[in-house]
Amino acid sequence: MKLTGRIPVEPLDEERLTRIERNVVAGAVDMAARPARAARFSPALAFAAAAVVAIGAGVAGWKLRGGAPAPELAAAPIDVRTDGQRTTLDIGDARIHGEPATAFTITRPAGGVLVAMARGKVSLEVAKRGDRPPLVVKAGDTEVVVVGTQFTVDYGDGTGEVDVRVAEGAVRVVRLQQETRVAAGQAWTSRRGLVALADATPGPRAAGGAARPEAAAPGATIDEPARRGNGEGIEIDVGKAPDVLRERVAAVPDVRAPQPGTGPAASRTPTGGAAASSAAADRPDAAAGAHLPRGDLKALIRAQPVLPALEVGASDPLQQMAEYRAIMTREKGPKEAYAFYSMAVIQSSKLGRTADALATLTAFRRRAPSSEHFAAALWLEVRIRCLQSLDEACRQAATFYTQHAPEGPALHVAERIALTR
Amino acid sequence: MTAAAYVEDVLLVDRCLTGEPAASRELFRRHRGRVHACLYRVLGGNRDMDDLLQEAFLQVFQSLRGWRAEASLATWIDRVAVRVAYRYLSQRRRRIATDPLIDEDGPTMAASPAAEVPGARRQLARDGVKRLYAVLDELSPAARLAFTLHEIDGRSISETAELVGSSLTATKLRVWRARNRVQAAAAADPILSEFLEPTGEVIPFADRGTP
Repeated sequence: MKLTGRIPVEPLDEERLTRIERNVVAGAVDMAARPARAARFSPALAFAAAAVVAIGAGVAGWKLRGGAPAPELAAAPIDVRTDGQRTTLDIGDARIHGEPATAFTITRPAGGVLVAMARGKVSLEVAKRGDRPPLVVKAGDTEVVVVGTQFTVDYGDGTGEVDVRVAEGAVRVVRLQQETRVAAGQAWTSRRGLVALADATPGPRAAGGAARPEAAAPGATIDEPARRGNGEGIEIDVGKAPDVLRERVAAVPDVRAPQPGTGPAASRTPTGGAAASSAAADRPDAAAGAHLPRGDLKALIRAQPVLPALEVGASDPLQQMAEYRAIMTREKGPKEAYAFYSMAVIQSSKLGRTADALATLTAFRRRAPSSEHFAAALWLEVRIRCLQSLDEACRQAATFYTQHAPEGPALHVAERIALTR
Repeated sequence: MTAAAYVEDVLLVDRCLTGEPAASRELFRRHRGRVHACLYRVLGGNRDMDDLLQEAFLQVFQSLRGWRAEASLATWIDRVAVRVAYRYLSQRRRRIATDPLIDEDGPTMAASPAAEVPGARRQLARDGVKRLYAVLDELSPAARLAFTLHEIDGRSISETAELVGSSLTATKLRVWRARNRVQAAAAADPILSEFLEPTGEVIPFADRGTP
């Protein structure tokens, strides 16, 4: 029985094809315009939306009591004040447990979550944020930036010292333009900087402060007793953690200068090296962070050099592109990935074809997710988007970089971008 | 598939995802012939073919964000088309309304493999196809897909298994059973038998333009 090729396909006539094509293209455009995932309706969301509307309509202070329904947050801020009992507020992507006598306000700036504490103590369970902007807890002049972990914030009566404990995951603490990443096994105090847990001495507790959570509980504690009203002497210590101090080293640029020759150079990986580290030392204070003016932020972005991973000898960008294409056609494995990434670099930096570069980067990320240039490709996307505009797309790219290139040399810049508002 | 072709696919998909009509049109034009042929060979001449082709591409565009570029775009699109065909076969409990092929040479001949006239022999080939698809209509959707993709569309067993989302063993078994079924039907039907194992009396469809 040999049937292959023996059954002819009756062709569709042009008129029918044109009609189908018209319908398909219209459908395709329509689908592209839709958001990637439609929001699902649920009674809980409907109830939550109603709660938000009620707040927006002029409820001056919203007293949340134990067992109250979980409101879904909208743009309108939610003021939460607990009385004599513990209460839980589920905002969808985080669950916030408020201790008695706690006051805080929740807003969603640019898709993130900002919990601004006035006093008291909250415990948070934060789901992984994915591509979304981070959740930030603000206690006085201290900000704790969370990507996904459990932690507790204790702010006393709202005038005192803040104390942070992290047993699981990591948070970034920003205070007075100083930014520190505190992970399990690390502690930080304003007097001594980042220290091991064994060296961190929690400050005395305020009599009027809320009950301090047990150190054994997973999560971070930010504790600000009332009597340290001057805001000085912030202590961050990590509970039940190993005594290994792992202070972040200075960030380094993404890519070193390429070496002559056509071979891929391992030293050009985006994890950088000594030369890059010395370059980083000349950069503005890493603590300037999210509070830098936008112009300065762009200068910081530009300070991260981005160079092709593969030198092909040609000086003309179009010729270089042709060379890279040829390499991609005949090579497999790392060399193909080098050419891929290099194409994106040339497209963005020499040809000014940023849209093509972004598409090439998307292709690269799909094709070579384990490439040593993966982090560099993520950074190149951040660079392209953020030098165009420090907008939402830029922040999302930066957030993605922080999540997928936690050891990336440009992490400090990406974190600042993600924090811009 | 070369990396350059791969990049082309990815760039095209990215353009489609931005809602660029020209890109969607280009994707449709690049793949419509193959998808149509695949659907035709699986389902036979069919009154719903226009709708099925349209549905397949609408499904493609709807799922385009999910293309992870692990397979080539063409394979991925074929998989979507096969799913559309499977759904169509599953939902239709009744027999597929196979279009009667246009008779250019007069009325259908009686079942006589010894026909002398070339036109009549072509008609005999058409009858053979009709009878083949009538037998295929009796198969389960999964068996029909496996048989038609492998035996008629000419795909390898592994490619067929990938397209239908089954194991190699299950796919081989389905093809084998379907082939037995077709051969059993052919034993009782001289026209189908002549079509399946031509003795030179029947002009293959491929030659239909040359009398």
